[in-house]
Amino acid sequence: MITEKMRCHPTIILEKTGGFLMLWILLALSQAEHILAFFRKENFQENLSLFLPLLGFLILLPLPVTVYHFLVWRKTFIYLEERTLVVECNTIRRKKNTYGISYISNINMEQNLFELLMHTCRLKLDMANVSSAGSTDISIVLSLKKAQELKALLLSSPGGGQGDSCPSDSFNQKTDLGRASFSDILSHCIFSLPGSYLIFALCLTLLLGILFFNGDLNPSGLLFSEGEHDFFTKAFTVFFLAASYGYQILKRLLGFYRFSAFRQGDDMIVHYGFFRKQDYTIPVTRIQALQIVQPPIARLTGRCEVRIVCVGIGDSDQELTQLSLCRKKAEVYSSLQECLPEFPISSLNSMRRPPKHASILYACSCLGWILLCCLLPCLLLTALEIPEIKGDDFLWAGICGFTALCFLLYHLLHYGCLGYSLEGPLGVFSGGSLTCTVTMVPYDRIQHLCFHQNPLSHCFHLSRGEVCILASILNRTVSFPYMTDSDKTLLIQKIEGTTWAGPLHLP
Amino acid sequence: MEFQSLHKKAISCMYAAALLGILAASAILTFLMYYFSLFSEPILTGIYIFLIALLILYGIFSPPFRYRRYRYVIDEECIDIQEGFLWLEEHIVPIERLHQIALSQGPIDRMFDLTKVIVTTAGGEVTIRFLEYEKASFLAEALKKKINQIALSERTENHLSKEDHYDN
Repeated sequence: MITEKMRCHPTIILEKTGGFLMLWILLALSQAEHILAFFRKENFQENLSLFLPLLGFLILLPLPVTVYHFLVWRKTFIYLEERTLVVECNTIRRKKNTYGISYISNINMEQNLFELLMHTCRLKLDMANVSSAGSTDISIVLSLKKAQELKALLLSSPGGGQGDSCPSDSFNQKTDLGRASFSDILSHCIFSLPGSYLIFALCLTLLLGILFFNGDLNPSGLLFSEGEHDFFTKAFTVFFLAASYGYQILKRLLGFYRFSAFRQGDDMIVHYGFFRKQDYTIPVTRIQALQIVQPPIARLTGRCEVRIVCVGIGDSDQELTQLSLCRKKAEVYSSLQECLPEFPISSLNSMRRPPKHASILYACSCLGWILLCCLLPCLLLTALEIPEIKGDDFLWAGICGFTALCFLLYHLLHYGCLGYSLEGPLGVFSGGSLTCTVTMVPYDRIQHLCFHQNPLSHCFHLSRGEVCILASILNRTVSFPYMTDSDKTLLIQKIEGTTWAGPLHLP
Repeated sequence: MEFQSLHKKAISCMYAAALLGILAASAILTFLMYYFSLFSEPILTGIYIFLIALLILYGIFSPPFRYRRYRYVIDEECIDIQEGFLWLEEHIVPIERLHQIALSQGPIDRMFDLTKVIVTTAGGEVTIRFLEYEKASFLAEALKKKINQIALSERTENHLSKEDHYDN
């Protein structure tokens, strides 16, 4: 059965040529003064024969681009054929891409400001395919009504968005994971600030503090004279800092505007966005892993957020992977348990710390890094007696000491985050340093395993490594800490005893 | 099944690869030392000699160790590959997760008539190196048959379970 062939919405031509047109208009506006001056010249009539063809060329310049995009629009068709979605393009390059509906990993309906105004929508489809895991496979612009119809058609097709499983009856009703109010989003933005941002802000504040007290801070030397130095520079600096913090928080606030996540049947549905509205439909069978993430402030206040690992989500900065905002742990766990029983929270209760000898290995690793990055360069610089740094021994020793302290702190924080659990239907692996991340991976989603041993861990019969899953390149490997040989065997047995839920490609 | 070792040719291939690696690393190091006129510094010259000696020692000792430690097994359930010199690695790939099997020969491999078998899962690639061409082809064919068998049995199971579902 072949459905009616359809084209993208004509506004796609405007969207595609929009950038070029804007550039052209801006150029024309910036030269407006010269153009007007030319018309006012006395010898205007004489130069007209030269000017007119040039003007004509400039006015007609956007035309070929528009015509090209018009032709692409006119000759591109989308239709359903049996259990496949076909995108056919008959322009300079003739293409016919056929995608199996049962391979769809998620369906994302996205609207930017222009599309909101035009009442159109960008339908993004991602396939459960390793080679294109980091990018969107199909991106088409349709009218809102048509996009919703196509989405419904894809979801209702045999195997469409449902993997190979039959729809579960228990989730015919909507089950909420989080419907965020303004205060929820605000608290999320504050509590989920990443560690790197906090460190940067701390360093900047410290630096500014030192410069303030030394009195030689003048970041706006071009704007203020020496007399105004005290008040204006301080005011400017404080404003700059506050504005940068404010901008980050505002950006996140708008990004999570009207965030909601719920389950409907066998699909997880996630909505959010202000300027760019996003609407994801993710079949539960396509969720590769869940991450329970605790950024530094959330760790201190007993909060966490849940992120999803799935092909097609998180390909760009605007695609957020959150399934639940940063809330109290108990609240998150109970709603997660209700919404996604396939990922039982009870698995977290059996989390174990790495074996006792692992602490020796991490201590040795820390010592090794300190030797390599702090002591050796320090000794080398002293031995070389370079004239530029001679006499600054105290400064260099201080830098090396500080770096060593950072390494020590990192290793301590990292060791504090480590843990794993192999009991139950999921493998649970915890890691991180400032931000603690617990990853829950069903055994049937693990593609392969890799174990590493250094000479010392070989003596203690411990190995660490990573499990590889089907996800974009950033999330493709989940590291696990040192584990004993018996746990290693258990992990291998667990993986061998499962059947992958995904489709199988024959060689 | 028992772990299998590599053919004797593999050690020669490892020596050739190590030799090329050492030559390249030494050339880069020497160029940097010469370009920045660092040979005049006795400490840096000492470090340079130490690094070159380390590279030569690595070239001499690593191939026999790597050869002895390289083992692989392919059974009904999974592919298990163990390799390394000082830092050991073990890759375990369940047969059922295989997507693609490829054979590949680099210039050094071709000199010694050896082949790599690259097995791809949805999570990435794992390579079985230094196999004789006939053995690699045989392995690839055997793996392909296994995957086909699994796919067929899965399809039959899915078909039956769907029929049951619709009957109910």
